[in-house]
Amino acid sequence: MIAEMVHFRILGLKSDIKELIEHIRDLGVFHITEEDNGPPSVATKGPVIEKMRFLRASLLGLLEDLGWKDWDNLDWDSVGYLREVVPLDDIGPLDEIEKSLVEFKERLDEIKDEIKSLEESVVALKQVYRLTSYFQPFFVTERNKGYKVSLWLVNSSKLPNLLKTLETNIRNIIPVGQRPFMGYKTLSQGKDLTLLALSVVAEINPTVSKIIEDLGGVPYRALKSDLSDLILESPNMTQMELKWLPKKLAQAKKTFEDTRREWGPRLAALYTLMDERLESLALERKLIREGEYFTLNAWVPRSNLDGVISSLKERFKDRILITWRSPKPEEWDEVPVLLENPKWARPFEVFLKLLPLPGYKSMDPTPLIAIFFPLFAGCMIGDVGYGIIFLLCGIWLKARNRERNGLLCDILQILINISIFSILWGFLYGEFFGDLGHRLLHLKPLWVERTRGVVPVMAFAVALGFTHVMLGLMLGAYEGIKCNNKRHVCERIGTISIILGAVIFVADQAKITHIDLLWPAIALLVFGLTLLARGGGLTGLVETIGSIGNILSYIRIAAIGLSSAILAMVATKFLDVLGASFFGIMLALLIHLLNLIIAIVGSALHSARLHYVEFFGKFYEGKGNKYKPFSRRRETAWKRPY
Amino acid sequence: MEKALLGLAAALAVGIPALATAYAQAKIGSAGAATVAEKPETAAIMIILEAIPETMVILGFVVAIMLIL
Repeated sequence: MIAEMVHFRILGLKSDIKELIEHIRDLGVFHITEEDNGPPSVATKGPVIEKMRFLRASLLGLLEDLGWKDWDNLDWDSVGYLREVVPLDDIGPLDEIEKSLVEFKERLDEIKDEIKSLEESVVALKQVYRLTSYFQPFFVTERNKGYKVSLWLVNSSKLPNLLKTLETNIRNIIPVGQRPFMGYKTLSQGKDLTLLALSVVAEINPTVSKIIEDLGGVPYRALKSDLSDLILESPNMTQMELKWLPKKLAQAKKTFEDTRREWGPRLAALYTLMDERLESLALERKLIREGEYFTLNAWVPRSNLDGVISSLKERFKDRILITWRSPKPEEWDEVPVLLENPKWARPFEVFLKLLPLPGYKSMDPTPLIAIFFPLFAGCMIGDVGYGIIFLLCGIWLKARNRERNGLLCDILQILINISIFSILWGFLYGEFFGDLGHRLLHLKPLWVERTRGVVPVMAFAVALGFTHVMLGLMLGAYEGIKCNNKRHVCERIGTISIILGAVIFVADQAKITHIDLLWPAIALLVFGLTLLARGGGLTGLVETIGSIGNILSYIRIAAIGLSSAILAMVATKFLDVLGASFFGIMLALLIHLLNLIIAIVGSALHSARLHYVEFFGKFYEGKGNKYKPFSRRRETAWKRPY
Repeated sequence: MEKALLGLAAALAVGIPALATAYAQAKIGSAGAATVAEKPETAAIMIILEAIPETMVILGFVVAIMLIL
């Protein structure tokens, strides 16, 4: 059902505007309309608004930096408290907030930098530990001989040439009478690089270093810190560092986590407050016109009208003037749409969330979906055992998520409804985990066994499709009458007549009844064709053929149900073949599990398709505007900023 | 022989539309996934478009059943 709306107008004093905006925000039912309030650029600009926008973006950035996303558990009392104590309308407090945020950002960056640096050190140290274990004996031996040892990263392909050049150069620069010496050890570092530990006489070390650098070698430093050289030569020290660094890293991460836990909700509360206030301020600027008065136009659900009027009268007495009226026909396209369905149908509103909303004066198909969707899905599953499993799962999951409202709860309620229909259909088909019920419990079908009576089930599915499509066409005709669209009405009634005529003609030819129905059938066909020619012409005729195809499409209910029933029987058949062994039971259970998944996914998808394509196509027109009440963030479905 | 031919005809009546449906759904599915990634509000239209070719195989199934029975 689509809620009836009234156009509500408030005329008040400029001095009351702030109080009024906060009051209507508390009421949370006003869908404020944009009237010609001057250029928006003037209305939504100014130093305070600009600063608030900047701060709101900064807060969002900080929340992202902190990685805080726990919007569901935001303490709304703290938001209320902040609303009372933080003045946001002057530039002074906003500057103070900005200063605090900058300081907080600096502190946060320090913590994050420390974590990053420590993480890098841990990775580097692990690599170094491998090197020190390899090079340390070489380092010790060469040092004891009094040589200077250095580490270089060189290109693997250039290494032989580099060593040869070094030997020649060392021979040339060694003083006469001294034995030229060069010791080295290498370790491959991936495909292209090699780590070279070079040992030479201490006096010629600077010259040798220059030669290696000229040949493309790079001095190797394990860490950025001064400890690099020491660590390289001492595996024990590396081990100590490796033991100590993770503790420091854990400490830094704990500090970050504490900061997130402490400041995340506070920043989120401030963000929410800023967002609300910004919205109010923008509205305030829009409403204030020249003079001492302001006018507010809004749409309010009629069911809330009395409460709204008494609340406003009580608060503002005679300082405001209130008028209200029903929407005019020319306004119907602008009136916001609020779906107000009975509790049993409300979960099925989820199907309309995937489509544009129906127009204000259109029909809300939610109650019909609530009836037909579980009926079709249950007819496809049609198994008492599967139905019980889905029912238990649905009830258990719903109990676990009792405190949550929203999409998950709606889906679980739909699952429960489907499972109830599955159990009912299961009794009609006499199925309990396929034919297991028949074998163990002597369960007999109340109507027909699907695997044996394919034709009756198929005929029933087509009859179901006929009813559903005809209902859709009738609703389409009704919508046409409401909107005074004669072409639409003719087309829909013409299609109904032709389909009815065709059905009666087939019934007559098949001699289903003893009454001669040929002439009524021909009369209906002629009447339908005339209306079609008046309404849609050739397009209408094509749509009529399409509608017949739509009816036949409902055979899928029988087809999918049949495949599900046969798969369940196959599972039991495995027990016949393999006996009640572990392997046989496991295989049967696995097939039932597979069938369960296919049954629920397939039945839900195909039922949805039958509604979206076959049913909605006959009458549904998504042209409605969503009802967006001006309210506290807590009352609205909270749209997370990220 | 006649029974075998009927069985073959029924198999073809389901098999050929099934292949055609699979081909169409593969094409629509990949395009639909890309569209939904960019515009999540088109999800319902994509489900509808994805489900449209299934009618072929359902009607093929009906023909097959009628041939066998």
